[in-house]
Amino acid sequence: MTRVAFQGIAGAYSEEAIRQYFGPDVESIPYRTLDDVFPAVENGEVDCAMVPVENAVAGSVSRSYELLMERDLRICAETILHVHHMLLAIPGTQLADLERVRSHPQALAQCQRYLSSYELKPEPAFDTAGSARDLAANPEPGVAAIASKLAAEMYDLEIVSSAIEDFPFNYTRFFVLSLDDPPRAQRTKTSLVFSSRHQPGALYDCLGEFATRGINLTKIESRPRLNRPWQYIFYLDFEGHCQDPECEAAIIGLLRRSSFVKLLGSYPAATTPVPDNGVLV
Amino acid sequence: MIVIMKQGASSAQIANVTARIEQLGCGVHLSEGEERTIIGIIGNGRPLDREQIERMDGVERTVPILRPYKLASRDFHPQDTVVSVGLEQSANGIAVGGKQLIVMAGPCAVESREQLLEAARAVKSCHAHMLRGGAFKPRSSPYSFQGLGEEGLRILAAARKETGLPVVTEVMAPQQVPLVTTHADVLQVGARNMQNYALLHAVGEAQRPVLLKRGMMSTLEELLMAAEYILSHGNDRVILCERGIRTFEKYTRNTLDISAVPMLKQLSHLPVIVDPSHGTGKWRLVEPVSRAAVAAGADGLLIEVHPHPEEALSDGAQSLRPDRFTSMMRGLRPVAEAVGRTL
Repeated sequence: MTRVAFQGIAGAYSEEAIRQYFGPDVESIPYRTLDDVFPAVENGEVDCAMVPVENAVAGSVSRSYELLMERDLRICAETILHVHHMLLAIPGTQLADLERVRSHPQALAQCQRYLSSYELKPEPAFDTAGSARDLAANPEPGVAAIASKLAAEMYDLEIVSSAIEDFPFNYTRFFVLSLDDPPRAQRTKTSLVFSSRHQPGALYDCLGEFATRGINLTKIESRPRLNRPWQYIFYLDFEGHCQDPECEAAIIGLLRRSSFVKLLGSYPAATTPVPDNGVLV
Repeated sequence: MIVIMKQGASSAQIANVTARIEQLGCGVHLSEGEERTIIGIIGNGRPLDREQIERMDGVERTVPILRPYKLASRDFHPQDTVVSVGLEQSANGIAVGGKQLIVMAGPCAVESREQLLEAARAVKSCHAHMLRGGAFKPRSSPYSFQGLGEEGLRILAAARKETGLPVVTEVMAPQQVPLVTTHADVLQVGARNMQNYALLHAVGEAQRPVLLKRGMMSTLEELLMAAEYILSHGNDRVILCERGIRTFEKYTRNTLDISAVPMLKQLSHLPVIVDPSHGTGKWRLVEPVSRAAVAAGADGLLIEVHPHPEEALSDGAQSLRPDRFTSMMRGLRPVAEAVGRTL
C-alpha cells in the first residue's frame, strides 16, 4: 500500500486531498510540521507526500516553498482540492445555540463573512482538524469548529452548516512530492526557482528567455532571500517539460543570466475548474 | 471511460470536467473534434463514478471503454494521426499517415560506408521518402554479424546529410536510446522487442517518432497495448508495422497478415505500414505483397533494398536490387491511385 505523508492530524484538508487523488487504498500518515514531512520522504519512511503550496484566496504557503528550495524532493504531480469548510459541533447542536467558533486562523478568515452574519466569535487555534478533535474530546456548549467533512466523519461531529466559505472558488493547490521524477504525461508543467542579478532589466532578461520562445508562464512569485534583506528569489511555473527542446533552451538561457537556478521538477499539469459564466477573473 | 461533451460545450465546461477527473488522480486525453469534444479518461484502475461526471454541465454522456488500450484507440481519438518525421535533424519533413504513401527503403544492415551510401543514393533516385538501415541487429545467432553499432549510426547520418532522406533504425536496449536519438529520425522497435517494456518506456520518454513492429507471435491487441506504453508518455508519434506472423506455412518466412491493415485502421488512429520483405522472406514476393498492402489501405511500406543482395551480411534473399525496386515503385503507382492515395 502506498504510504503518503501529510502535515497535520487525521482529518486535515491535506488528508482529504490524499483521499481524493489516490483513492481510499493508501495509508495517509500525519506529521506534526512540514519540516517533518520532507525528511520522511527522503529517508524512505513514506513513498511520497501531499503538501499544500497555494490557496486561491489566501495565497502561498510560505514554509512549503522554503522547503522545496532547501530540500531535494521532486514534484511528481499537482492536484487541486476544492476546500469546503464545514461548521462542526456536538451532535444535536442547533446553529442558534452556537456562540464561538475555533479553527486555524486562515480557515476563520475564509469564513469571516459567514461568521459575522451569524454573530459567531472566531477563536484561533493551531489547526482545523485539531479543533474538531479537541471539541469532540472536550465538548463545550456553544462552541463549534471549522474543519473538513473528513474530520466530521472521523471525530463524530455533526455538520451544522456545510460549505460556509465566503468565496465559492476556494481551491488549494497541492504538490505530490517524492524522490523520483514522474514519467511524461500528456500535458506537463515545470517549476523552478531562480535568482536574478541585482541590475536594471535583469529580471526582464530572465523572463525574456521564456517569452521569446513562446513558453507560457503560469505563476511567478518573488520571495525574500533569507539572510539577505531586500533581495529576492523567484518561483516560476510554466507549461512544458524541462526536456522539451524549447524549455531546455529557455532554462539554459536562464542559467546564463541568473545567479542560480534550481529545477523543482516537471509533472503532469492539473486543470483548475473555472466559473462557467465565461468570465475569467 | 470516455466523456462525450455536448455539441457546443463551452471551454469552461470542458475545463471543469477535465479538472474534476484530474483531481481524482486520473489522466485526461482531450480530443477536440470539429463538432464536439471527447474527453478520454486514462485511469490508474480506480473505478470512477459515471453518474457524478454525467451530471456535470456540458456532458452529453459517458461511454465505458471495454478495450484495454485507450490512447491508441479510435474511440479516444477519432481522427487519423499523421506522424511528422525528420524536422529535428533538418532532413526533409515527411508526414506518415496522410494521403501521400511513405516508402522507407534501404539495406537490412549498415555494412560499410560505401554500401550504405550506394544504397541511399539508389533509394533516393527511386523516389522513396526515408532511408532504413540497421546499426544494431537482433540476430538469432550470437555468431552472426551484430551490426556496426555507433559507427553504423554515423554512416546513416552521413547518408542523410548527402541525400536529405530521414533515417529510421532499430534500437534494441533502453541504454541505446540517447545514442540512437542523436543520429536517427525515427526509432524502430523490432518485432522481437515489441513487449520489451523497459524499451517501450524509454522510447516513449525520448519523444521521437517510433516505428513499432508487430511481434511475430503477437495479437493485434498486444500490438496496440505496446503502442499504449509509448503513447502514455505523451509521445503520440507512433507508426505501427505489420511484418508477418508465424504460422505453420514453410514456403514463406512469415505469413503476412494483410487483414491486420484494415483491422488496425479500424481499431486505432495510428498510421499502419507494411514490411513485405520480412513478411515473405523472398524478393519475388515483395512486389505483389506491396501492392496488396497499398490496396488494403496501408499508409506506407518498409522495403529492403541492397545494391548487391548476393553479398549482403543479412537477409539477402528478401532484398531487392535497385533496378527491381524502381520497377516496383512504378508498378505501385496505379494501385495507389486506385485507392485514392498518392505516391
